[in-house]
Amino acid sequence: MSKKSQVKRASAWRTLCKVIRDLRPIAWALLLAALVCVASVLLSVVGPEVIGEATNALYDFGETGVPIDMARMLRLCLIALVAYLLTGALSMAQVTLTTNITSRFYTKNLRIRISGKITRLPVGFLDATPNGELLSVMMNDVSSMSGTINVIIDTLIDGFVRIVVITYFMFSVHWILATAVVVLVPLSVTLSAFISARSEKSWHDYRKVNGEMYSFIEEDFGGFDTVKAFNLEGRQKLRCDEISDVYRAKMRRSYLLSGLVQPVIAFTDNVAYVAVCIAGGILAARGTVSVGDVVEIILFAKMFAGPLESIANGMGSIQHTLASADRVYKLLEREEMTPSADPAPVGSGEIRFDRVCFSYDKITPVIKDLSFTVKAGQKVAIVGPTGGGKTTIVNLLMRFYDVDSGRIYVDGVDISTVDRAQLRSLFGMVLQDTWLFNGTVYDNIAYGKKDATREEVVEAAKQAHADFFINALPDGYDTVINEESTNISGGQKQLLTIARSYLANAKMLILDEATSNVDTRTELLIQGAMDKLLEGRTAFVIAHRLSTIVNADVILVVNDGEVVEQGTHAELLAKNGFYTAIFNSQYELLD
Amino acid sequence: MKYLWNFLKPHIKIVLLLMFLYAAQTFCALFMPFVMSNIVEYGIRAQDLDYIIREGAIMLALSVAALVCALVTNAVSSRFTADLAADIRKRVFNKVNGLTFEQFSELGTGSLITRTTDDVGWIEETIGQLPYVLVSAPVMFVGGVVLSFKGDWTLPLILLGVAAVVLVVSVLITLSLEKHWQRGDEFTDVQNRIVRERLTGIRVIRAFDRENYEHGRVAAATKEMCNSFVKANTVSGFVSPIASLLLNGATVAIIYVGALRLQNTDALHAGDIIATIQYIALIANAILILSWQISFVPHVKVALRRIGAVLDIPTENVESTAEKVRLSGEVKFENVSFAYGNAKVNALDGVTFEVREGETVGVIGGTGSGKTTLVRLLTDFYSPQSGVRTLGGKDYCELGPVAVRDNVSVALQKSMLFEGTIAENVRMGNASAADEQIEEALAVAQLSSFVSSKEEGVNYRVTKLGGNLSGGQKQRVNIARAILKPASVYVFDDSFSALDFLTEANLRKALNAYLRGKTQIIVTQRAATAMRCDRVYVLDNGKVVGVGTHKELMKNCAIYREIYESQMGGRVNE
Repeated sequence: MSKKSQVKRASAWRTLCKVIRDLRPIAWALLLAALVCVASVLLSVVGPEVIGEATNALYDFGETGVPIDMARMLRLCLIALVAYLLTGALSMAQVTLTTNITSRFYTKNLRIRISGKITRLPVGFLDATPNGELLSVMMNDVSSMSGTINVIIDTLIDGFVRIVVITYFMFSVHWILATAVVVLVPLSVTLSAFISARSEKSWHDYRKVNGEMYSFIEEDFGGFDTVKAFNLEGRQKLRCDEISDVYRAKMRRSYLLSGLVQPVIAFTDNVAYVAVCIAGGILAARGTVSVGDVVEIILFAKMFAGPLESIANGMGSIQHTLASADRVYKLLEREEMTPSADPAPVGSGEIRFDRVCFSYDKITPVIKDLSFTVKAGQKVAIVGPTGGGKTTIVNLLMRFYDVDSGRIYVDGVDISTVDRAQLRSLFGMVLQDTWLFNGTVYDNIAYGKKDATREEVVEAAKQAHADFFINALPDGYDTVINEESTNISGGQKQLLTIARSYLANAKMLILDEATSNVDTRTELLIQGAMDKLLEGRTAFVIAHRLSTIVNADVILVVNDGEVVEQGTHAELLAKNGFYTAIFNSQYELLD
Repeated sequence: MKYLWNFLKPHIKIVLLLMFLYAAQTFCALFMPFVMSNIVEYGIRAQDLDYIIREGAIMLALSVAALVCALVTNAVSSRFTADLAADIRKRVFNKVNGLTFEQFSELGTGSLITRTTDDVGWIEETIGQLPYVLVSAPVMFVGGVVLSFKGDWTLPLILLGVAAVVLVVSVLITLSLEKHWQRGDEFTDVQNRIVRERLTGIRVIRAFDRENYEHGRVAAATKEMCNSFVKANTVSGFVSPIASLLLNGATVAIIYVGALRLQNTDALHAGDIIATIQYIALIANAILILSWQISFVPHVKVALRRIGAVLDIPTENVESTAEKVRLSGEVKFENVSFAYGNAKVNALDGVTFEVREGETVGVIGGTGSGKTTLVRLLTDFYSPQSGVRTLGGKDYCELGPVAVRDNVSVALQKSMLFEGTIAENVRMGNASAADEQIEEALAVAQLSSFVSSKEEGVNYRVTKLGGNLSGGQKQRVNIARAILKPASVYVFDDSFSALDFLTEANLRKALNAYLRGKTQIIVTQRAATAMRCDRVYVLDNGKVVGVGTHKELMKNCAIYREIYESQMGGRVNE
């Protein structure tokens, strides 16, 4: 065994241990399910036994011609019927028990645990992980795990019990016939497990090309206008043909290999059946075994094959699940934010950056040795090209990320010691990506303050110039903002987030002035609301308007994710650097 | 359902072959108990060991025949399924690719992606099973009844009756679960949506300390989802025990009734009863598989309907066979009005718009002013309800979309990058461009320093949707692609919005040199961008409210002045 596969195996074992450890709370229920299962298996033996006996009576009639004792027949049939009824009831009880256990006490809890985990993960991790990936762990991987818990209960517990019990009863009927079954049937399982292992790789290939196909379609449809505008339909059709051909080949191979399992199992089952018939026939003809016993063995053999097949399949699905479980536990065990618990500083809102250094990837420095002081009520303008990293400073102030070195003080207190929620409550925030959730307008504004009264919410909306358009909405404040927030305009969204910040009434503000996707009049409205919100508050403004920049107390010029210059408008112009170039380029007409 | 047949038709011979093979397998399985009953009646009773071995050999032969059939079936069926799957995918994809932009937008990108991937996936996974479903259970039914009929009708009747009841019951249970599954799916979506909402809004949520509230919402949706799935899973788990119970009941009934009939008729033997009991087991198996497959029917029906709706859309054949015509860069819109779908308000309202060859014209306006609609009409993504558009003196309707797009190149607002290298992305503008031309286009787009900073240069790989490039870099790759395309009119739809003013100024200078003599139409929200054009059209609410040079507009056009002042800090001196 290579070292790599050893490591892989060891980690698979560790994951399995974690899965089992998490099953502990439902151990009692699993035990109960196992007991019910044993009972139903024991009962299921009664049927074939009784039918074997009845068959003997039928056969003897043909042999001797003595009339059948119908009263005894009826008794046998009733016993069998009762046994079947009880077996049915027990199986149903078992199904109810297992699905309830797995869904209610396992899957559900696991999902809730992941959701809770998200509340404690640093923003940096969530930023770096695509949303789809996290969702896939929470939804698909957990589903796959719970599917396997069902498999474990259904096939492994049920299957093993059944195999033991049936083997015992078959041998009690006739050992030669029983041997034929017990030797031949497991052969089919071994064979099918062998094929399954072989088909694993082709299955992976197939999933992979399926994913490629998905990406290709997503890309083509996502860029449909580009495809059209450049007359690229022909090119894309060719690429689709190419991928389809690979897809066809991989799918065919994967289906071909996995499709081999069923015929092989059916064949060995049949061979066992034929062996029982021939051996049973010969033995019965010699009179060493009754016809009823042969029938009983045949019925048992059918009950024997099922669980073996499911165990073989179940083993396969457990392997798939371990990969899922691994991802789930990786997420659950990810490092959480380091707790800090000091109360928020009391003061008027003075902010000081002291030799702050920061980088996102711990390699490329984004902020190098940045120091500046903002007195209470002063304004900081952050200036620079889009995508240049202006939000970094916001990230640090709000402690979405923590500094690598240096300190940030708010009213003289180092914020790294302050409880995050309390620190954040000091800031109001209006960002360009307005974030509204699928709820009413009222709820979206009230988000800013936990116990806001109706009056406060309406007052905040008025302050933000949002009241008039809210009243024009079909249900006023109770209008539900739909999932994509398409029933209100971009500008209205921005006004709502401003209203939210009014309601929060924090002593410091973080504002993004960018008002894209807004018509001119709404833009003026938003600017008015922002200016009013800024009054008397210490503020960091991601500035787009010249007036904000020129009048700012501190200007931070950011480019390529780095603070390249800092100072007042006059100081920066005197430097004749990047700021001057940006500033002048706006007014320069092309020749 | 029309499309089910439509998809299968080209493969009908294979389908028939598969049906035959499945029937053969089923017969083999059914004949085994039949032969076994002979062993009981004629072998054991007569103590004829040779007979027993002979019949045993027949059974073995039947097993081998079944195996051979099954292996052939597997080979044919895997090929059939794969061919069918690739066919359907290609058909749906090519259909969508041939839609007009208008038809495409009506269905929406997300919905079309789901239709071409998930919905097609449902059909792929089930349609291959169709020959089996059509053949196996019915043959099992009929065969079992026929074989168990040996001059006495009671046993086949019980068999038929119970099997029919089981079939109906299991199908009904399976179908009744549809609403629970749906409800479960719904709450899965809710859960998905809330978590997605949380992840995108993480900063706002943490800013307002609402993580616990959001977590509570997820937990509530999880509970709802769990309840629905528990119901569905529990009840669907009942199908198998109930079916087994009924069929076992039938076994008991057949033994008892068989015992009665045995004594009344000579036509029936103990072996027949034994065989009939085994038919029941075979039928039971077939029904369980069938009901499992029926549980997919609702999904498949929806998927077929959704795919059918796409395939039903009429499309014109837009394959360009004609030679490319090179037109002059003169663009005229006369009194053009356009409204989207059933909208009551015109997105463009009586717009007259004229650009001379070689001119650089700006179009400015806020959101909803009709800028993007204008671009879509320029590139013939839509046709206006009234008014005339001409390009190089020729009517748009005469030219057709392909010819229009051969002459109008556009850098779209949403920068689209495809997985591949930067060079591949740029080359989409002109498949026959030489490497030097690509580098030149990149240089004009101010990307030279970025490209040379990468080890791979122009072969630097762009990940999905340009995830490893910044917004400004993506915009510039799009610009490079657009200008590489040989055309007479170049349209830039908000293409400089992510660039800082310095980069924009350099880019525009290079662009003017590169596209000398060509027409440029620059659509923007930024006054600083518009003022550097020869003339500017000002749009507001779908109407042209001003046209002229920057200076003229500052004097005559209130809306232009408003935009300029709000952006360029007119209030500095207040």
